[in-house]
Amino acid sequence: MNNKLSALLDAEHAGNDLDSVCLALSDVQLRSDWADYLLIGDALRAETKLGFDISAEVMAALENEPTVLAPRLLTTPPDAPQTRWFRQMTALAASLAGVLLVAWVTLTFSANETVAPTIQIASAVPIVQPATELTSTTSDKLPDHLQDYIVAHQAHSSAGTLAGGSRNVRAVSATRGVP
Amino acid sequence: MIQALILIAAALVHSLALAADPAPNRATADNGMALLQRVAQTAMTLSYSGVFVYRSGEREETSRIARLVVDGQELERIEVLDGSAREVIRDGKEVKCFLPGENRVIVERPAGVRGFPALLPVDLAGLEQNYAVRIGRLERVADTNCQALVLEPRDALRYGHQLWIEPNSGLLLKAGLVNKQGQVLESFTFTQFSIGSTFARQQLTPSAESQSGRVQQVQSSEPRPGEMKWVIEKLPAGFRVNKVMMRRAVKPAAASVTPNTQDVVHFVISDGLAAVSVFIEAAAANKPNEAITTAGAMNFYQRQIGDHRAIVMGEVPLVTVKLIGDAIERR
Repeated sequence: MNNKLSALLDAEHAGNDLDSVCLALSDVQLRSDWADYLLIGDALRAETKLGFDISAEVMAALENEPTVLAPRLLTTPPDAPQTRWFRQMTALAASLAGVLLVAWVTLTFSANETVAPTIQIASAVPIVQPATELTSTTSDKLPDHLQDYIVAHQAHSSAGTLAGGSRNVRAVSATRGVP
Repeated sequence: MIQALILIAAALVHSLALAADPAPNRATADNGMALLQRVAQTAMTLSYSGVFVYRSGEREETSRIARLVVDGQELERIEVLDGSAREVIRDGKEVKCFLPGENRVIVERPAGVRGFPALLPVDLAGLEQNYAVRIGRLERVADTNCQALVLEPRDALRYGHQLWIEPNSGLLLKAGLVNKQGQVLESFTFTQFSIGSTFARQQLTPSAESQSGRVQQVQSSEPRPGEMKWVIEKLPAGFRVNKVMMRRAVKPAAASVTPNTQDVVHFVISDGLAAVSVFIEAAAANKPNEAITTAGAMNFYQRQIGDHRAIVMGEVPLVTVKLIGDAIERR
């Protein structure tokens, strides 16, 4: 049947079979082929108006297209000379204010006596954390062998050595009992 | 033109700031490190006596300390004045813990371990990679004006330290360990002190009651070639293994106290200030695979690895003991 369609398109079809070809066009696939033949013909003849409607496909594609949020470039009219002078003075004032603020902060907080002995994390460095939140059981009386290991920990490591001998109290603190 | 004016103004103000401030940030950090160096030196060389309060979590105890250093040899006794009468005596290499309430004496004696007992109090060279050092204000501790010093951790793998230092001697009169929420987890505070060796020598002698307990002595030594079957390579940032020892019971206590008669591996790990110990002992897998315990400033992480159990402990956050424990591998 496609040969007959092609012949009809080229005006070479025998007239006695025209009814059967037209009846055959009720088939969806055949109609689609017919549309393709027309499109190919238009394209070969360099027709500007293609013979099919693609608006539905285009709209569907636009629906599926992700929205891109990008800042637009703001266009402003060129400054008048007075406006330009005002903007430059404002920038100068803001810069000086910033410099003075930095100087004030430096003068105020760099003196040794004014730093409060508080603890913070000095800088935020990301670390590898376990996937789950760590929870521990708090113990007031550790098992004996853990106490032994605390003694070894204190004896062999530098833990708390800044505190001199007083750090060694850790070794026996965990063993506190009733007098 | 305007930019040039701004630059000139900034340079002028910066010069004024430098001229007015004799200790800019770098100098402040250097002063802090110098002070820290002095504290570390004093902790090893100074003779003194006094009374201090130790707080750990909600626990608080008062202790008396006497410390004598003669020709580099340390002799020191701490006597806990609250609760049961416990004592710690450090005599050069040896540390003895007298626990009369438990009728036992723990003796730690290193043998053939290089660098012991000359423990470096802190690895000052690498300290600034892990902590920012700041000098604080002068504050009064034990009736003495002390210089405050703050060591801020550079990440969440370690705690912060607050130190109050007697400026003439460099003796640390107060120290606090602080977590990232600002809670003081542990502190030592002298309530009275006396510098020098003027105290009675009797203060360095253990009481008769303390000496009656059964002795449990452990000797540590370096592992023999091929003896070490464990390795910890992927340590958290800033930590490194300082030494590895094999612990061997010389006079084991009752079986219920020390279940293992086999050698125990002991890794000593540090970031220059905070210390972590890892003990690996032979143990049947009859306990939970993992357990985390907190006691004051110390965190403990236990992990079963086949027929061995690793116990990680230190004055560091939970996450750090967990990361170190999970990095233990059989060689």
